[in-house]
Amino acid sequence: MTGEIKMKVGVFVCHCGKNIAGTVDVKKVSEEMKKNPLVSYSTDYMFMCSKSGQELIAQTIKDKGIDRVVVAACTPKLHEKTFRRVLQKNNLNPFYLEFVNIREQNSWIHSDMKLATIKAIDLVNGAIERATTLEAIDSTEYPVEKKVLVVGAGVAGIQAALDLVEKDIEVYLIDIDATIGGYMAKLDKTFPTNDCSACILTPKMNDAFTHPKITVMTLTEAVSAQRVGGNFEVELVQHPRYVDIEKCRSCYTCIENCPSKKRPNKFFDNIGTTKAVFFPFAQSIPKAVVIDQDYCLYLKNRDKGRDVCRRCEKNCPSGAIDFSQTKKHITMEFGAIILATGFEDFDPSIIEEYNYQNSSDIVTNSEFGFMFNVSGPTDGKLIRPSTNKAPKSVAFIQCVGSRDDIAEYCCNIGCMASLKHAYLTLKQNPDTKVYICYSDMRTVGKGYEEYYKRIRQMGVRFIRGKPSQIDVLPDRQLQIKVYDSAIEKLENITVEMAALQVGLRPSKKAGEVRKIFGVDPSSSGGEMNDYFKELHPKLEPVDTKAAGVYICGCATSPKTITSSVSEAKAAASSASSRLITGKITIANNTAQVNEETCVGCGACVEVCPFDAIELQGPIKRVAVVNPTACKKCGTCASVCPTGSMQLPHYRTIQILPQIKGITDKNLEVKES
Amino acid sequence: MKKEKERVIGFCCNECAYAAADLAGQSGMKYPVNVRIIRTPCSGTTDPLWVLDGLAQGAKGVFVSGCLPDQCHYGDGNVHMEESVVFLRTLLKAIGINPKHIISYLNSAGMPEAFSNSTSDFVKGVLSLPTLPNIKSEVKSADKRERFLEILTAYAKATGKIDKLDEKPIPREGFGLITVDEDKCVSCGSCGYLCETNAITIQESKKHRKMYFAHYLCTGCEACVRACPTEAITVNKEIHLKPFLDKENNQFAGSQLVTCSNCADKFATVAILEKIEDQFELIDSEIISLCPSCIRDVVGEDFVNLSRYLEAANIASEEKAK
Ligand SMILES: Cc1cc2nc3c(=O)[nH]c(=O)nc-3n(C[C@H](O)[C@H](O)[C@H](O)COP(=O)(O)OP(=O)(O)OC[C@H]3O[C@@H](n4cnc5c(N)ncnc54)[C@H](O)[C@@H]3O)c2cc1C
Ligand code: SF4
Ligand code: SF4
Ligand code: SF4
Ligand code: SF4
Repeated sequence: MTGEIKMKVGVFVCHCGKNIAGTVDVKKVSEEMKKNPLVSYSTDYMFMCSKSGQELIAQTIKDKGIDRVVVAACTPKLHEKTFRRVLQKNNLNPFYLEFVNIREQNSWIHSDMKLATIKAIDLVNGAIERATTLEAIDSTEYPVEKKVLVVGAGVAGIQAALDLVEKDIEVYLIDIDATIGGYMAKLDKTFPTNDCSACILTPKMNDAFTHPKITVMTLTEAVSAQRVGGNFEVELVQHPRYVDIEKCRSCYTCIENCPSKKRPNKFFDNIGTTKAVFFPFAQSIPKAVVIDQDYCLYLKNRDKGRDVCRRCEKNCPSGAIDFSQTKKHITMEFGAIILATGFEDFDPSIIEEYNYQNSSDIVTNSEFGFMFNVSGPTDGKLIRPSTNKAPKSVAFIQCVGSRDDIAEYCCNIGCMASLKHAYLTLKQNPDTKVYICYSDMRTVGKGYEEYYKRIRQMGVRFIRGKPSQIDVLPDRQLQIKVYDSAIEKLENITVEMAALQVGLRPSKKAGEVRKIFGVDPSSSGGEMNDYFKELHPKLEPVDTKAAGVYICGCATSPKTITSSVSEAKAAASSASSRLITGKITIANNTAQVNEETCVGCGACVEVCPFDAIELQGPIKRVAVVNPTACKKCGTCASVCPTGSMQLPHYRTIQILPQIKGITDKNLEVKES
Repeated sequence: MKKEKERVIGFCCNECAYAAADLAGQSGMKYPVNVRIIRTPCSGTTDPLWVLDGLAQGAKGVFVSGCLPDQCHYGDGNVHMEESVVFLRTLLKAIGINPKHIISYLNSAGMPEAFSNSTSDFVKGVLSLPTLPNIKSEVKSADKRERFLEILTAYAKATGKIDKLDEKPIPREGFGLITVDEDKCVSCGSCGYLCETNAITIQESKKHRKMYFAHYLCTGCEACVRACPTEAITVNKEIHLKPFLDKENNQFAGSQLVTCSNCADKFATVAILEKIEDQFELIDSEIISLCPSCIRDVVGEDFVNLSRYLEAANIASEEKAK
């Protein structure tokens, strides 16, 4: 690197008007540097960043043949790019610049001119020593497929897909369920506008399904992924539906003929039942039935060599039933991945005091809400499960498995969901007595506080407190013990139904999905923290540590439809920025391994936050860095015992000279 | 040296610490003039060697600063950095240097006050410490491990600790101490062939093969563990200062070499033969004293013998598998 060739360093010390020169004797600094044999030109200048300052560098490169440039001025965060461009324009590699901060970190901090000048001399001297070791850095282009895999087809995944095809990027939209739509497809009305969920979602589901650039694959999951250049090679598994989607005419003949009736309606949290052949819900997409192998008489017996039933197959007028379908493995390359696997409800059975298991009238808020859905399990009618009649009184219990010992985080939508359900209850049966037991009413969002006010005016009784107990009385009524801290009174309320607003959790397979694509959990502490972690909580909310993998919706944290959709659009935008030119350009300053000296100890692999390093080789193992995954943090190099791993520009042979330069001089500076 | 001319080097991550330092300047805050900041991408970039080198080159103190917990812009570089600093402090203490000469602290880009306060406190504390031994002239090597050793040794000598080093191991990735089960080791030498750092070496005389291990060269890579046919080696990822600084190179195994009764080549050790003796019992026991190539030649003359030999060997290995 430093080689035998003698470097010629040019040093430029900026006055920045009086900003620097007021505290640092810039003349003295530039004079002092002339004593360093590595320096062939050194000067001070009023404003280095001005056009004439840049000219000065350009001219010196031409006239004096300097090949390393040291600029001592403000913070590199302001003008490093400016000066790199000057070098580039003058046929010097832009990475031959060494920038010294003598303003923000010197003249603006200190007041003693003598000492500030010594400090500046140290810093510039260190920079000179380091500059001579700097290597040129070029870049490599990696082709990327203009094709995105979106995992999870809830509203977030669907929106991301729709936005991507707008930018002419091909999308594979997969969902593990037999229909797309996610949780929103189960909702009746949506806060804060109370518009019908199906009315706003179904058109999007249709758009996605019919769009020529979107391939929708249901009953499909990703099982493995590896990086190949700028792409991801992903293995998808599609489980058999036993129905040919193309042929199914949605005529219901099969359903009418199926004798197996006891399949719990999984789509609506097992409320009610379906046949073994069924539609997930009325507007499900793709518009085709699906057969549940655990309930189909033929499939259950087929393995035992018995051939029974097949009434659907025999009766289907279009020959759509296809029992020959098997698990399909598909491997494909994608340029980017969007993860939108959503959420699921926390199971409140473990909270014994709430007796969720012991009364059918204690339901989750989801189960409560599904009943309002006209195409839901009760055809849109709110009923008290134990009597099948409308309940006369209902209590909503907030924060069950949120903001407590079970989980620290807030479910974000619970307060608004209960307000909505209170509203829907009263709209259906205005005489119902409605209670909401809450810890804090969190109605932050556009139109949310107004919504809260409206519901308050409808006569809902708000109790500020978390019930300590829900008891099932002999007459099946429910007695709720709660201390109302607003009026400082212990209340005992009796109701016919209780809806628990349970906490939201990452979807069941979030942990697996995360690992396949190299994304971190939001925090340690098990499955309930498997919400995907963003690259930065504020500035990079939809990027992840795995370059090219983006996240959105409830898969990152519980949130509303509005926020899920906003994130989906952001994720689509980030993914398209990566793919839009069909190639990614990566500066070759990713970590580099000296294969000769690497002993394959794996220390670097252990610490790399981005899983960018792999050990390869059967006997002699060496570390291999994947430049498309490396984010250039240099952590690997810091732990490498042999010094084989190095981050360009932060190599030990570049930093040690800098330290030496900084500590070398022993000056008595006289005030000039 | 006068206090104000002492130097304190700070490795600051570009994302948070360096930005906070800039903001401190922009907001007119103060911290001591002794500070010399070196910018790194992530705080995890900072190599423990750089920190030690800062002291060795004459800085009175070195600090490393990064983003707040859970806010590292590179995943968890800050966590690794803090581990490195704790490791270094443990080392310094063990060799008689006050660990207060180095420190790490975390703050966000928007916390200039915290940055200048932590920095001021650190500098103030460091300046009040006694002068560090001057070891500059003893640090020469460009090799990472060697330079690390030079610095530690020089300090340990200067403080007199070198003769009374604590035996407590200091756990750390990248270092290794092997333990060999003498009952299992047959002195085959495989580990020595695969160890790339010369931590394990083989020395052969006319009659003996001896195996040596030098802790100061070991990286804990476990190549030896994978090489060993008898699973005799385990590796602990840690430093033991005494053998490390003394560059001890200790014999851990040895066995007499066996010469071939036909060609007189050295082809195995007594220990190896003892281990596989059983397998030869079924056949002509002479065969065991032949080197592999002579087995081929001698036995090859007699085909019947060869097939018998192979058969027997098969039975033996099958039985062993059972
Ligand atoms: C009771 C309740 C009421 C609500 N009411 C409202 C409301 O009125 N207004 C509002 O704005 N928000 C409301 N919300 C929130 C809203 O439901 C969510 O914001 C929204 O559904 C999030 O969409 P999503 O696409 O991120 O996740 P989801 O809707 O959960 O979709 C995720 C999809 O990913 C699929 N998937 C999961 N794992 C995998 C895998 N491994 N492979 C492939 N696919 C997978 C799932 O099958 C699912 O289809 C409510 C939530 C609850 C609990
Ligand atoms: S520089 Fe950072 S991201 Fe790159 S390989 Fe090393 S540890 Fe991983
Ligand atoms: S830490 Fe260094 S020696 Fe060990 S595997 Fe990584 S590059 Fe190789
Ligand atoms: S762990 Fe690695 S470096 Fe240490 S002795 Fe074994 S092979 Fe050599
Ligand atoms: S430790 Fe194992 S590999 Fe090394 S000499 Fe002994 S038996 Fe052979």
